[in-house]
Amino acid sequence: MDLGFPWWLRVEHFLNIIFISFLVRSGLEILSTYPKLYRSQHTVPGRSWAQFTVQKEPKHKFYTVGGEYSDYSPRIALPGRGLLGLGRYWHFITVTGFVTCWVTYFILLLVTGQWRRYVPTSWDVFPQAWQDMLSYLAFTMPHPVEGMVFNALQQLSYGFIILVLTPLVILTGAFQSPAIANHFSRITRLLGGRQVIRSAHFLCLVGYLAFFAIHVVLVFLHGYLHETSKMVLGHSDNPVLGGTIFTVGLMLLVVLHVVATRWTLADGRAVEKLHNRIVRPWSNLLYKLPARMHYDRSNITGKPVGLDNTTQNFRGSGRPPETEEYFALMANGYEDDYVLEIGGYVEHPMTLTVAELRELAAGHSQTTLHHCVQGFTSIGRWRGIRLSELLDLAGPLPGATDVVYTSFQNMGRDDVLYEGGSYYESTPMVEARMPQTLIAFELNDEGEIPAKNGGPVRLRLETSTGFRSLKWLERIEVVNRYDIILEGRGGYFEDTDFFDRNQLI
Amino acid sequence: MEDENSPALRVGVDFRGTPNATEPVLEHIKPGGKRAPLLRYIRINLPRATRWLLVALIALVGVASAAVALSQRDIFPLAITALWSLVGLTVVFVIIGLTTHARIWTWGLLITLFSLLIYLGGLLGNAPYVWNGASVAEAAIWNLTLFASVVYSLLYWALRYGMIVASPDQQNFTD
Repeated sequence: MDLGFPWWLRVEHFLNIIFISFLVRSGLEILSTYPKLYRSQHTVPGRSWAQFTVQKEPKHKFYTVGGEYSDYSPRIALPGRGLLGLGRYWHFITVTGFVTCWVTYFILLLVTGQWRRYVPTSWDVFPQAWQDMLSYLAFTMPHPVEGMVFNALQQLSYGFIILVLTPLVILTGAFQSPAIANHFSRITRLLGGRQVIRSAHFLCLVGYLAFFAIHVVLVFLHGYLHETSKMVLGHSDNPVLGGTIFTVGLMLLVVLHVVATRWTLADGRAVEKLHNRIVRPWSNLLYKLPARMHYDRSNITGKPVGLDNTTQNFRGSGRPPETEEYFALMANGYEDDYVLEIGGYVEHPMTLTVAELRELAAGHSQTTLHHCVQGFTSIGRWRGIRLSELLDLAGPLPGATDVVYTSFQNMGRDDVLYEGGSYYESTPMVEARMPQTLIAFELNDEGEIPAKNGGPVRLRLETSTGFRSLKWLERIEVVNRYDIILEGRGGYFEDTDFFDRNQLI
Repeated sequence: MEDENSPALRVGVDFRGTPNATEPVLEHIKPGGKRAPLLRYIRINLPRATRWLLVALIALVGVASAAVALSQRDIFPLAITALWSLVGLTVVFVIIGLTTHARIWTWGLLITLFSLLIYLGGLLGNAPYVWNGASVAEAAIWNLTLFASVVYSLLYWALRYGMIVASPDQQNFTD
């Protein structure tokens, strides 16, 4: 068959330039907020295999993950300046297009027989690719295989990028999602764990950049106008026209990036709206994937496991409340004074002490991987009671749709990094009733939860990124709408920054 | 040690009296600037892999140079002698690199500069290029000495710049 350059292939090629360039820039924005790569899921300070920051953290003072943001330039990252939420929005908007494009392309390759351009149909391709490599090294141009549009080395390298690297980057990207990673926890561990997956995702980026650099050099060596014309017109009969159109396309791409960056920095809420239209229709499907992580090498059955896999020093990602009230609670060991309030749209409003929570929990625990939105992970064994059991005791009234959690923490008061008021979060009832949504009162069998990790009582939402697992929990309120609370976006970071309430990715 | 409760001091990290003791500090940023040069943001801490890579590149230079020397092509006067001398140096380098923890990277740079000098001599002489009558394989091996030397030189620069480290050194990340 004549492989040529069909129109859909040329369209896909140009769309991929747009998508991948946006993914790279927004991915760098995400990286910038925790610019360290690890092999171990415990993310122990000093053990990273790579760092992409010039910041040295305080050596003799407690620092939180929130202070690890690195300020990347908007010329490099999208949008730059440590705006993680907006970087995530762009990454997910673009990934929607990228994956759709790749799946469509894959199907078209199969049904049209064009898969032959990437998949060798003879073992002869491999020795021929070696000969082609030698030809390039010898500063001579290898010839295309008979009946093919490019040489054997190009066939193998393009095949690798499209059929190996792209599925790998999609897979490792998908497993950044706490909902996916904690639902398919066996696969998470099979892939080496969250930090290995994160590192592999980064190395895929390096792979794309390396391919891009070599690809561009070879396009110039083979003849810029000749090669780009094939990707525009499908032939090289009129290289000047094709090359000109391609160059104009590249210039428009640069303009698109500049406009997107400036627009994002000027009006983040507009980008949020775009994200909600494009991403939420599929990200909401992840509510169907309840977490079922019990961190043990041989067990995902739901049985409690020991402390072998837990993180010795669970990372702190916020500053404890600095109020007389909280200090008094802490000084008295919480047990006598702390009371968790459960109220709102329920039949039986109630208050529970830690001792009562402990009694209700009857020894229940879960050992899970914490997915920080920035990127750090720690593994903790949380002892607590399932929220669904507490809700059953309280009895939500008909029409109750969401659960709101309020913390003792006041961000503007307690943490110099932030402004604003009380920390709160909310979940839809489906997330509140998930089997691993927990009201926890003990970490790693230490008798309590340390103050830096949210003691005396905190929420664990294993399907969401870490900041939604509210710490220093004061009150739980069942409501019939959350959009009338404060800014109406469902949580502190949702209100004051650019984070979606759906944090399942 | 004055404070046994300090985890930092317990592991020998002592920044007392510096701003970094209690505050984050940003390095490599010029006064008045907001950000450091781009490449300062990259720090890879894979010392053993880097050591292997550097040694492998010099080995590649040596093997390729030996192959060129064995072809007995008259590239320029005394080229064969120069190539075999280069091979000898690479052998010594590889042995030291694999059997000791010595920091030999500057010696490696000198070897690659020697190799590049021979390549330059080939450009002025009768180098084994296809257009000089050599086979594709001969030309590829000849150019391999160029590419391996250039890559080693770039890695050497990255090493000195602090982007990468080679065993026995490491980045000494503490955070």
